[in-house]
Amino acid sequence: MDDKELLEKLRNPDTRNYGFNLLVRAYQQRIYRIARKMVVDHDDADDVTQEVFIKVHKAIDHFREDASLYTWIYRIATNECLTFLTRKRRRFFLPLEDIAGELSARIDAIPGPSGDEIQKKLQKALLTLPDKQRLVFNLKYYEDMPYEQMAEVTGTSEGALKASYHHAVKKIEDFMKND
Amino acid sequence: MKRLEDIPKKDIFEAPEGYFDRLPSVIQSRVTTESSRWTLFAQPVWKYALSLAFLAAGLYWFMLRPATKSPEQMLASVDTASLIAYLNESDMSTEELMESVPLDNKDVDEIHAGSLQNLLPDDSILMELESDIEFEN
Repeated sequence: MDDKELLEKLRNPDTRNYGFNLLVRAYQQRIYRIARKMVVDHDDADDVTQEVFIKVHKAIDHFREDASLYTWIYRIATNECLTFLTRKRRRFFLPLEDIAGELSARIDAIPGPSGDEIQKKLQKALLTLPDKQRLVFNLKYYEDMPYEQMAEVTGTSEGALKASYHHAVKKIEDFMKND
Repeated sequence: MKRLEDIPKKDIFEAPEGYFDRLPSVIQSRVTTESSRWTLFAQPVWKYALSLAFLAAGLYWFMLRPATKSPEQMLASVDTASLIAYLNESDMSTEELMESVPLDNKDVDEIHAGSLQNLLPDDSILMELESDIEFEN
């Protein structure tokens, strides 16, 4: 079922619940994936994912189709991830480094084969980036999102996103080389 | 390993087993709960109930608030001993006190009579004085 059909079901009061259920099933894995990479912990990613869909449900009547449903949901998801991290930092009065340290310890605790060590190192390198740059990197590297769509999701120009991504890659490679 | 492209692209973050089977119903139940809560509060009866509650709270506050006492009532609630102690310790003169208290002519006459009476020594002293005078003579 494409987004157009989903929207039709969501806007019809008789099929609204069914439509919303289909939407959750269609997007839940992608939204969880984005959230998990940003907040690292499963429980936090679960909170963020649920919150994204609650907001989608509340705001679906105001969705004017200026962007695609996919872009609109991703925009809500990325905002929710950044807000979650900011709130977490404020709640515990933590600076950026301390959050990175805490998340880094959680990455170490992830079970996996020994070959995943390089992946864990990459994730730790990502934690050295500012939240927004990490988000840009994740959308491009893991989600293969085109810059044009990323610009719509993040509200940033394509040029700025390209520069941000290349800086992120450089920082990650430096971290992998030196650490 | 120096370059990002040399690292195989892999997602190490996995959701617990069955998580995506359960999530839609968890979200659906949250949505239903929140919707029903808002629907309930959106009922017209709630508007009236809230208005009535505010009105009742206002009336309760108005009727049961402690009544403001007049200065005379407040003064009447202080016992005489405390009043005398206060007036003795204060710098207020008798004239100032009399100016601040509304007195009629009768009150003033009584105060003066009392004052003169207080100035006179009692009878035993007077008799002693008289006998002393007689003795000297």
